[in-house]
Amino acid sequence: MSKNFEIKINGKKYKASTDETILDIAKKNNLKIPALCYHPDLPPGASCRLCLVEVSTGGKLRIATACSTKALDGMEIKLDTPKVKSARKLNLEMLLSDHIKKCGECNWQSDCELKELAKEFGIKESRFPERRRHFKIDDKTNSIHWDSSKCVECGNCVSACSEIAGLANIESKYRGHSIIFGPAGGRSFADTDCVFCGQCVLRCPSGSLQEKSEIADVEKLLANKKNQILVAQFAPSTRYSIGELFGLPPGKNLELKLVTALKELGFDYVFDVNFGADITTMEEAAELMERLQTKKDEPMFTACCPAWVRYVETFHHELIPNLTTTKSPTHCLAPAVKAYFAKKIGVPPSRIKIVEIMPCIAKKYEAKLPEMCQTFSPEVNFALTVREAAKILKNKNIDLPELTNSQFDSPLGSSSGAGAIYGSSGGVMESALRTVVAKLCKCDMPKLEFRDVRGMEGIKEASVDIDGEILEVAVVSGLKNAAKLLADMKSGIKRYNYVEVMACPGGCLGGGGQPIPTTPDIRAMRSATFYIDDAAKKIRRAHANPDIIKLYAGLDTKPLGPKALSLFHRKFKTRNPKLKKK
Amino acid sequence: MEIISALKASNLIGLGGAGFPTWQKWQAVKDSPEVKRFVICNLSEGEPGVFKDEYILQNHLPELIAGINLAKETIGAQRTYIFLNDKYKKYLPKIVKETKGKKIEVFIDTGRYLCGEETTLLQTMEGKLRQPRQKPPFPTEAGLYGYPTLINNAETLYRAYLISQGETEIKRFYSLSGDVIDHKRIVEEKVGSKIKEVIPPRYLDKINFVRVSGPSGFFARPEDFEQIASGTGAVEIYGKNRRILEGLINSITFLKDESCGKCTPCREGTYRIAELLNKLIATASLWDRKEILELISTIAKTAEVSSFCPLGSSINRPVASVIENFKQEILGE
Repeated sequence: MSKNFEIKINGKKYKASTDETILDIAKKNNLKIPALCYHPDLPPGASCRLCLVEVSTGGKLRIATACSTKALDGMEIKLDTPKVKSARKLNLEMLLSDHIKKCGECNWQSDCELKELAKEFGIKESRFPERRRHFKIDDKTNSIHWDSSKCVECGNCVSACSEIAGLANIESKYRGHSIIFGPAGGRSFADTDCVFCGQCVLRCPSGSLQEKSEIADVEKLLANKKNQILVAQFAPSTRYSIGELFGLPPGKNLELKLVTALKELGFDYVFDVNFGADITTMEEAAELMERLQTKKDEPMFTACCPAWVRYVETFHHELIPNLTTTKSPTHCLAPAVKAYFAKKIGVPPSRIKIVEIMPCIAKKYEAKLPEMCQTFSPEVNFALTVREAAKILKNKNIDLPELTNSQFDSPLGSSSGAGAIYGSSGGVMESALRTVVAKLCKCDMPKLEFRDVRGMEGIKEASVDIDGEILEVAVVSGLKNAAKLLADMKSGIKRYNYVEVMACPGGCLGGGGQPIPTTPDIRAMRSATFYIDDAAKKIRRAHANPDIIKLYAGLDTKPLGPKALSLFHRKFKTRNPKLKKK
Repeated sequence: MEIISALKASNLIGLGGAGFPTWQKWQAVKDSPEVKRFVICNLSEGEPGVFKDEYILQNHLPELIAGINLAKETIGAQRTYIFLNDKYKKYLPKIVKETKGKKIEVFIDTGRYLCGEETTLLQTMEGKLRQPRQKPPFPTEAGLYGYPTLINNAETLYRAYLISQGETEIKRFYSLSGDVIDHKRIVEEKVGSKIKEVIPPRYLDKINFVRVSGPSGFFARPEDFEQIASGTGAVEIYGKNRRILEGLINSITFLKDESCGKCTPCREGTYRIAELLNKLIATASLWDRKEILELISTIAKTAEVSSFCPLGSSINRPVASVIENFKQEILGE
C-alpha cells in the first residue's frame, strides 16, 4: 500500500509516496537528474550509475541511484554534491571510452544523450583508451543493424525484448568487461525469432541497435533519377511525429509540409498511405462481413502489422487462416500506384520507384518479402523510417517546419477520417467497424465513433451492436499483451469475432521507426491529434471516399473481386522458430 | 533459551564475508506473513584463499546438517537447499548420506565468486541471468521465487548449531595459506582475532605482507597485524621476495574476471584499474607513477560509492589498503 509523505530535495520539501522513486519525484518537479539507461517503459536496470544522488535516511548518508531508490518518509536528498558529481563524471567517462563513436551513422545525431551528458559534465577527452573497436556488427537482416562496439551494456534491449515484445531474442553473453548484449543463441538476428518490432532500437541509448539504413540507396536514387518516376508515400503516423526531429512538440500534423519537402527532394509524386488505409478498410471490412456470415476462421485478426504477422507465422501456425489476407495500407497503395496510376499517366510500372516513410523497421523486412513482390517486383522499392527521412531532409538542408504547404497528388491522395486514425492502436478496428456497421445496419444513423477501442491501454475490448447481433472485438498493442490475449482465447476465457493486434505499444505511433525518445507521454501526445483530425474530416468512412470509389471503378473490380484479390491480398508462410524454448 | 535470542546474545554475524547479524536474518524470515519460506545454505565458496567451508564438509558435516535443520525448523521453511560449489562435488555422496530423510536438496553449480552475493545466488538457482537484483527487497522478504528466504554461509549455520548446544565463546575458522607455511591449514580462533593471532608466531618474521579476506579484502604489512582478520577470515601470506603490486594485480584481475558486467563502475572500473596497474609497472618516472596511482584510487573510490552490489563496492578495499600502507614501495616515498 502506498503512503504519502514529504521528502526533502536540496533542502526543499516535496510531496512523495512509497510507490515513487527519487527520479519520479524529481521529474515531476522539474529537477534535473542525469540518467542514461533509465526508460519510463522499462523497469529500472540501474546499471549506468549516472543518476546518482546523495540520500540520507535517519542520519545515515549514502550514495544511491535515483532511478531505483524508492522514496521513504524522512528522506533527505542532495542532487549535486561534489562527491556525487565526481562519481557520475568518472562513470560517464568510462562509458564513453567503452563506446566507439561512430556519430556519422548514428540514430541519435544532434540529440545524442551521451554527447549531451559529456558536455554537461565537462568531459573533454577520455583518459582511457578505446577497448571495443573490433566488436561484432550484424547486418544480415533487412531491418536491424547491430553494432556492439557502440554498446554501453545498459541491458535495455534485453528488457525491451522481454517486457514489451514478450520475446527473448536478445541476451547477454559472457561476464565482466567482456559482456555482450546481442542476438540470442547466435551471431545474428537472422538466427533468432526476432519479429523486427524495433522496440529495442527505441530504447538503446548508445545507437548500438539501429534500423538497417537505406539512406544511401534513396539518396542515390534521387541523384540518378534518369527517366524513372519517383513516388513517395508516408504512413498515417509519420506526419504526427517527424516534427519532433525538427524541434517541434509531438503530435503536430506536418503532412502538407512534408509533401513540399519530398517534392523538393526530387520526388515526382507524393501519395498518402491514409488512402491505402482506406483500401485496406474496404477489403478488410468485406472480408469480415464474409466471415461473419460463413462463421469460418473466426476470430479474424488484422494483418497490417508486419511484426505481428511474423509473430503468428513463427509461433502460432494455427492462427494463420485467421489472419485477414488484406495487405497493410502501404502495400495496398503501392500496387494501386503501379497498376492504376501508372496506366493513368501512361507509364510502365517498372519505371515507377516507390519510397515509403514508415514509423516501423519491420516495414523494411516486409517490403522485401517474396509475398509482397508477386504482382510487382517489388511493390515498394525502399522503406525508410521516420528518423531516416528526417536525416535525408537535413542532409539537403531542408527545414521542414519552415516550408509552405502543398497538396497530395491526385487521385491517390485524398483519404477519409478512417484512414487518418490507422496509426493509433484501435484505428484499424474502428475504421473497419465504421464501414461494417454502416453497411450492415438498417438504421438511419449508424454508429461512427467507437471510443472503447481508443486509448493507450495494452488490451481493449468492446461489444458492437449490429442490429441486435453482437460483435465482440478486442484491440491489443504490444506483443507481450498479444501473447496474454492469445492464451486467454486458447483457454476459452475470451471469445471474439475480430481482433486487432499491433506489435508496438500504442500502435504505429509507438513504432520502432519513430523518433527517439518515445515515451508514454510522447505517445499520448502523438495520438491526441489523430482523432481531432479525424473528427474534422467531412468523409469519415472509407467506402464513402469518392476517390476510393473511382479507384475501384478504374480497376473494374469490387472489394474481394478478382483484381482486388490479386492486388490487395497476400499469402502467409509458416516459419519455424529458430531459438529453443526455455 | 530460544535459539534466536541465543544467537542475538552470542553476537554471531555472517561468516561468509558480509558480517550481517545472523539473528536479524532469522527473525525477519520467521516473522514474515508469507507461509512459504526457504532456507539456503551457501556452500559456493569461490574466493581464492578461502577453504573453511570445505574444512567443515570434511570434518564437521553432521553439525552443519544439524545447523541447517535448526534453521529450517526455527523459521518454518518448506524447502531447504544446499548451494554446493561444483568443485566440492566429491563430497556429494557424503552429504547425501548425512541428509538422508531430512528433506534437504543439493543444488550444484559452478558457483563462482558472484554467488557470494545473495541475490545473484538466487538468480542462479532460478536459472536467470547471473546478476544481482535490486535491494530492497532483501532475500528475507522476497528471495527464492519471491518468497522469504534465509541464506546463510555454511560456517554460520555450523556455529549457530554449536550455540544452540550451549557454546558461549564463538570461534571461527581462519584459512591460512600462501608462501612460507608448509601447507594450507585451518586455524580456529575466536571471532574478531587479530592477524597476528591467526598466524603461528614462528612465521611472523618471514612475511613481507598478507592479504586478508581474499581478493576483495585488504593488504597488511607486519606492522599492521594488530588489525582484525575480518571478512571471510582468509589470510594469505606473501613472503619476503614478493612485491605488493603483484598482490594487487592478483586481486584486481580476479575482481575484473569475476565481475558480472552489470554496472559501469565495477565492469569498466576493474578493467581500467587492471590496465593502469600494468601501465604502472612499466612506468619508471615517479611523477607519472603518482598520477597513475591517483587515477586508480579515484576509480576505486567511485566504484565503492556507486556500484550496484557489495562486490563492486569492495573493489576499493584492496586498492585503498595498498595506497595507504604501501606507498613507499610503489613511489619510493
